Amino acid sequence: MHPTGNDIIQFIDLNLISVLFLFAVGFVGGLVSGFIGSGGAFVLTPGMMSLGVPGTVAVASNMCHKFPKALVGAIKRFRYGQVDVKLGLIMGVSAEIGVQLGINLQKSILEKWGQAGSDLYVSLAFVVVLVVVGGLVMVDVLKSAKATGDQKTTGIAQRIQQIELWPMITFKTAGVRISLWFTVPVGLATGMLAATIAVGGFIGVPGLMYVIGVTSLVASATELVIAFVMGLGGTLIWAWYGMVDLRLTLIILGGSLFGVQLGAIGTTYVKDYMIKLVMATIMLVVALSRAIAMPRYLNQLGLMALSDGWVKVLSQVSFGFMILALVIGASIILGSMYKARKTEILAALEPEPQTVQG
Amino acid sequence: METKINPIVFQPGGTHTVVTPNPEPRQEIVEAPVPTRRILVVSRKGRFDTALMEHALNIAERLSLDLVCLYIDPLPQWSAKSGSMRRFADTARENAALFEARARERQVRIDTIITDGKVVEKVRDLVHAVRRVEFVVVEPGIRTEELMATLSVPVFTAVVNPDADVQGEVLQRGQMDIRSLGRPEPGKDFSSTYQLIGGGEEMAKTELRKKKVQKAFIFGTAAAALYAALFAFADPLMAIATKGGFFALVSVGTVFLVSYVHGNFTGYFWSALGIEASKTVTVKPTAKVQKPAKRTDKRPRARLSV
Repeated sequence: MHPTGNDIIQFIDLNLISVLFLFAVGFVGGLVSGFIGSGGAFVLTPGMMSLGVPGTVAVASNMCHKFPKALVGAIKRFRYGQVDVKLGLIMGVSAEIGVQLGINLQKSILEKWGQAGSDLYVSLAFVVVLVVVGGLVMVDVLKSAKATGDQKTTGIAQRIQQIELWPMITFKTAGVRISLWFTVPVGLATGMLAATIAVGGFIGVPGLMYVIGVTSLVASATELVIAFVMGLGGTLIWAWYGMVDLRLTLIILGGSLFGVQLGAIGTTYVKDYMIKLVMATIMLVVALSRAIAMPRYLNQLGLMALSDGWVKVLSQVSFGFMILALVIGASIILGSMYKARKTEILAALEPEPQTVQG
Repeated sequence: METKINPIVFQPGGTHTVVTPNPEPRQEIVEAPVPTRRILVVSRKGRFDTALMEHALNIAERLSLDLVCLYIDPLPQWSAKSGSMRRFADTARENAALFEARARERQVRIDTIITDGKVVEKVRDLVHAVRRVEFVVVEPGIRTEELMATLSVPVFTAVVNPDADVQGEVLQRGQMDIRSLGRPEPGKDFSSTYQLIGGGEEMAKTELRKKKVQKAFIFGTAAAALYAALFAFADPLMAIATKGGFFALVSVGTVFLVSYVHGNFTGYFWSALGIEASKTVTVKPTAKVQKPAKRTDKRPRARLSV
């Protein structure tokens, strides 16, 4: 059996500030997750590490809070008829395989190029994936905001749906019939990204929307099922090695369950493209944050020469941008929800038309 | 021009008769063979929405009540001039036949009256004549305030939500405990399905909110107790949970428990604050997925043997 947590890990002492910090980040992360299906995790891991939590414990504890949060969010959004459970489970299982592939890839990179090389790979993956996918989503948002009417299925998704490759699966809530062989790669990519940057949803949700052809509302809700399956599998592995700090998990969960409920409620108020807008904004700001952090790793690899002072400043600025990404996302969600609620309340207060009686 | 349209009485057996032009539809009802408890359903459009029909039948079936459907043309003079009178009568007859057929399937007794005149007067007269009307359900647009002032039975307005994603979804308003009447779709959030507005809604709203506050309080207390217990015994718990191996289930089980208790608390917490899912925006039904038709012929397919 592997060495257990007690032998190798120093669990941190918690004080009021760290508890409040974790609770608050948990809440905002939960709000974003409930709304776009994922997110928040990318801030929590470095956030915990900044409090002195060892990296593995931070990842494990983050993972352990992720699956119950996703479960609560998925149940809530299932009640609104937004979740395609079958699609979520199929994608979840393939994502779980993707996680294992991602971990192995990371391991081989770590062996070849060391810690700095691994960190650089993670940052590169962050920047490339987030800029490309986030950029595509943002372009779509700008088009959707101008266009009126329902979301249209993309050309790629339409073509893929027409390919009759056994086994064909019908997903009723998502409203698509597609071959299993097209859902699996999206799931694998989701899992690989989750293993690399902790947020698989940045591939999962756009993949569901643009490759499989489901609406952003159903995509973001179904992503919660994927996150649950992945999170549960990941947690069992980390907890098997005794890496989970339950106290950290419970504090984050305390905040994130408030957030995830509110985020799920928020999806019933906004137009579909708002989900894409929040997702694209967060992705692009996070990409910027990781780009700022990259010189540090280049420095470690000897590809750049930076003083320690600069490295520290860049790290802090990078972390600040990550928090900013979440705050911007949360503000858009809360702002649009507030507006929509206000409009609805005002409409309800309008007097009924007078009845003319004979 | 009080009565331009012949009142029609639909008998429970499925046949209907046109009653002589005149007059007092209430007399027809008084003569109903078996006086049982009834629900009076009122329309002035000449047709009930499918959802409202189903809802009325659900209630009648559940509470073992009979139905009396009253179609009132409130503007007979205008109808006569514009020629829409005939349309009102035709529409009402067609709709009544449909309603009656559905009632027969459900074995609910139903009587139908088509008439014209003032809604308040006609309903009041009918309720007084029939006597055993338990409550009145009116379609939206009919002002319940006046009816309530003249009647001694409860009046509800059933609003069919045009944006609803489920056909047959009815938004109910009234003073009664709506859960005894409605049958929300399984798996659907009750609060997002039902909207309480109009006469008497304040009571029901307050009642619902009160229950949510109570549940928020119960789950909140349970969540606080759970958190207090977990943190009071954090050290021994951590010692066990971090042993690894099958002790991993301690961590997973704990978070599942917390997610149930605390998840329920947070859900009711927002509800208690009045922050709930939008009443108007619902998921648009996705287009039905077309499966390719299966071959029905049994002719052998061409095979290639190499």
